[in-house]
Amino acid sequence: MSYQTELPPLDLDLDLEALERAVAPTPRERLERARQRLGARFRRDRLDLTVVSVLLVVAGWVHARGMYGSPARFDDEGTYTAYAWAVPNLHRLAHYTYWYAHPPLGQLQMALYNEVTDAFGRLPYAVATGRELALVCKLIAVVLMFRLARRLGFSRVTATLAVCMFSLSPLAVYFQRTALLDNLVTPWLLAAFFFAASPRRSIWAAAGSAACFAVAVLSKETALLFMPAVMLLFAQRTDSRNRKFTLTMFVSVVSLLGLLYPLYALIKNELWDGPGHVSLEWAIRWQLFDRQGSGSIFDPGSTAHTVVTTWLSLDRWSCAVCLLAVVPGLLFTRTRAVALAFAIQVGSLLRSGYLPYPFVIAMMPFAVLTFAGVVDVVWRWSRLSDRLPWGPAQARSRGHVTVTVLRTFVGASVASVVVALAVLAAPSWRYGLQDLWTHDRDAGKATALSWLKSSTGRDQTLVVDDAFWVDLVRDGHPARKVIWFTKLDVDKDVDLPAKAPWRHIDYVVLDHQDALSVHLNSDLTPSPDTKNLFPTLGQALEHGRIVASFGAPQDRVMIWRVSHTGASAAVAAGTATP
Amino acid sequence: MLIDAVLVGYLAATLLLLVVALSTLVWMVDSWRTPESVAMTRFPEPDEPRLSFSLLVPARDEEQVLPTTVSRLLESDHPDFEVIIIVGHDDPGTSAVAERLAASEERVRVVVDENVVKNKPKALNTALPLCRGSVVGVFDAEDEVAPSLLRHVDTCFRATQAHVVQGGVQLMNFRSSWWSLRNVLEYFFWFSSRLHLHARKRFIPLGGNTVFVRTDLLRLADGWDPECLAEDCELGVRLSSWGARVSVAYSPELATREETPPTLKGLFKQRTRWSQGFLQVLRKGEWRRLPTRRQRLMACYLLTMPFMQAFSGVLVPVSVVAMFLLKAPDLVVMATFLPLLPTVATVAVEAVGLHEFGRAFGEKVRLRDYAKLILGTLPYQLILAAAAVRATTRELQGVRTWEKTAHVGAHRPVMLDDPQESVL
Repeated sequence: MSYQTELPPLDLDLDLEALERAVAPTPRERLERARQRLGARFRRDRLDLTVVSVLLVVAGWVHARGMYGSPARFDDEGTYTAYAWAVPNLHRLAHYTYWYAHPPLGQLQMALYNEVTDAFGRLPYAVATGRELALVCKLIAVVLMFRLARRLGFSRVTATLAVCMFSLSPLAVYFQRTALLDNLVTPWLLAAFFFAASPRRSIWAAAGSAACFAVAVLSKETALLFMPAVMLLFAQRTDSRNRKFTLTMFVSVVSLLGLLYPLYALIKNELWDGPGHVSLEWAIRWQLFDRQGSGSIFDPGSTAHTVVTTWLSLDRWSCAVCLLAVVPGLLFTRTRAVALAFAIQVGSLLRSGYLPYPFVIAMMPFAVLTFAGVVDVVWRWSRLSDRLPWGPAQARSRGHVTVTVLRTFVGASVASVVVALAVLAAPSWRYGLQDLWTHDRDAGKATALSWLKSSTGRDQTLVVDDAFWVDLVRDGHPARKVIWFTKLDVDKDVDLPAKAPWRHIDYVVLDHQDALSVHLNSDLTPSPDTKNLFPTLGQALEHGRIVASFGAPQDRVMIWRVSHTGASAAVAAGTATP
Repeated sequence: MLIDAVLVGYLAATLLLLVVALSTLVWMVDSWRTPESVAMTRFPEPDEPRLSFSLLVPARDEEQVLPTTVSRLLESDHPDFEVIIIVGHDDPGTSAVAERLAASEERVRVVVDENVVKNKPKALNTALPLCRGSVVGVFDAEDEVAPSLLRHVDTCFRATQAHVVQGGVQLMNFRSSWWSLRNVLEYFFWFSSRLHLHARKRFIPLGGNTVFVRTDLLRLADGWDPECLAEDCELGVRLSSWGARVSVAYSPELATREETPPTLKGLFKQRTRWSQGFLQVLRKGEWRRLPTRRQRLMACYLLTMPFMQAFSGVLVPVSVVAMFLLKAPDLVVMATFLPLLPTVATVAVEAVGLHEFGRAFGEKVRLRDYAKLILGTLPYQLILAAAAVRATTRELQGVRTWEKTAHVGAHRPVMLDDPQESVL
């Protein structure tokens, strides 16, 4: 290296006015520079940008078309909606006692979105606020997923394959539409992976990845299962020159932000179990150990089996190919992290613990990334695209014959798997999407809500499915007179007299799923289990008769009028079925 | 109403703490932000030496350490440099040692500072007119300078077109006491990370030694501010405001090795002097001439940093305790904890820094050192806070005397008696 041999003449003087003229670019210059940078960036990435824009439009359209009509709103969606409603309106984290069912960041984000966009005022029903936010999350997820795939070295085609499966599969669309915390978690998780795969390997990417991951966990604790996968991807990308510091930053940010949750509980004096209050300790113990499991997914009589069957019925082919890709995905370095994320989820499916119905939401992005990643790796290895007529000429003539044949064979197999998938899945996707676009499954719920609004008095006490809770309260029913059915006998916030509380209930509103979960008999009368586990609800139902029911069997809503005079009423005639 | 006002004030203070804690963390790890940036903090590979150096060594009551320092300087492999020892006319002991050194080596000269009230900037200004080299370097009387440093600085000047080159300084005696460990780490992060960031942003408070400035520029600037207690910082701010290019380079093997003050009281006095010096620089207002608003903001922030740190050092623990005792609203209590997050992350990064320091300087860092590091966080903060408060009162009372730090040579490997043992 050769530098100047002497000091240049001193180029500083104390003419301060000249100095002020020399430095500090004007705002216009700065704007121009920013414009040039952006322009250069745009020219470099314009193909990616075009593809992503098209994907966004398609994914958004497929998702949004009929998203308030299918699936029908259900209790869980209503619960999160009510949590989010409670934040600005009741200044609490839930419409009942917040008992650490989930960390609170999920409902806080939903509440923020609802407040900023005035969602409750605009949309057809309360749960629709969460549905709309789910669409926003979906669009963000599409961008992040494509960018993550590119950072993992996927070609544009395979990255597009992943995003297409993620946004066109009826299974995905069905669940991604729901107003559940899981859908809120997806973009945060993808962002955590995206930053972990940052090619700059900077300490700020590490902090960003950790912060996104912490937000994911603080939105729904099940995201914690992805920790090993994020860490793996992060470790794969670190550089020995600054590894100590990036790793420290990652671990510090995740753990410190994560600790805010127990800290909150500690401040409320609700960290440890004790008499007379809820606690984080109890909630975690219940979720991990005491909660009734869903049985094995291979046992045809189990709930877990039913849940998995529902998933498969929506899109069996995508499920199959993604599962097949797990093992090769774990073997290839490039796909190992996403495959690990998927494998952990599959592993917890097999564990026979409690299996929530929307568990599949968190699996999908990593399932499709695993599959598309394996396709990408194998396709590249086969070098088939090089030997196509328009490929580079020298590549066609090179290589040993056996290897060439093997590569051709493997490449052709991969190509045919993808084509076969497209052919096999296309009819079921078309049918499934058509159904999601045009079938208004929510019609029954909507009619039931109108019926309740018009046929019940503000002074009457309604025990309802949470999907109606916010709508009824916003309609003018006092919050203490609209009671979420699962809180009867459990929550001290339920405002009913201790003696024969059922006598103060006027109406009970449950849907088909609620009826199953409170163990009603098939003729919708309370079973012995109902009376044991839900005494007040059981008695109210025993003294009630169905005065109206709406909707198709799977989504049916039943409304009971409770008679306070005594005689037990069986399911009565006069049922209004639209 | 009153309670609301108190809460708002409290939350504002918490927000300030959060900003201070976050910026401390961010600036601390700046050099490790990407794998490439780590390499950029190093000196460039040296080529054929071309420049000439005048190395200034102000010495006051330093007869014990001065001979070793000067003979180390003379071991330098650079072909063209002179050493100018500056002694006070009222310090016969050091003068005698200096004269002896000058007699035995023609590259050493002695300059006598005749000022009645003495301090470091006045001593340096006394020597400036006599410098023959094209670059002036400053060292303290107890410094242990790497023999190949000058050749690297020589190259650095020409490679980076800099007006000023700031080399690394590293306190070494991290085992002497709990606070010396923290003091050592402060230097480590300051010279390996913080200063690089400030050089990049073109606003930099220079260090007190191992700093090299073009002689022509230094003469143009009329040397150091004789009344400033942080003459190094002042020069840096002044040169920055003129748009000078400063190159900071830190290679552990080239860092000048120093010792912490011998006692906690010494550290306290030194820190008081620095804080007060920063305050003086702030009041002097040269930083207002910096060309961009961002630089001015950074200058203002940096110069008030000792006071913000003092504030946060006291407020964080107090507020955490108070919140639990006073039963404030839950959200306010949560907010109180926010500044604690970057603070804890900072301690974690410091632990990594200690490991990195041990690796770079071949020192074995034991588990108990990490324990000292963590346990020392709060008391050390409190000492810095107290020093900042003392600096403010001194400045307001107009007391601007120079409290000189004593040197005993604890950073040198062989010691006959170790007075550090008795410290805390």
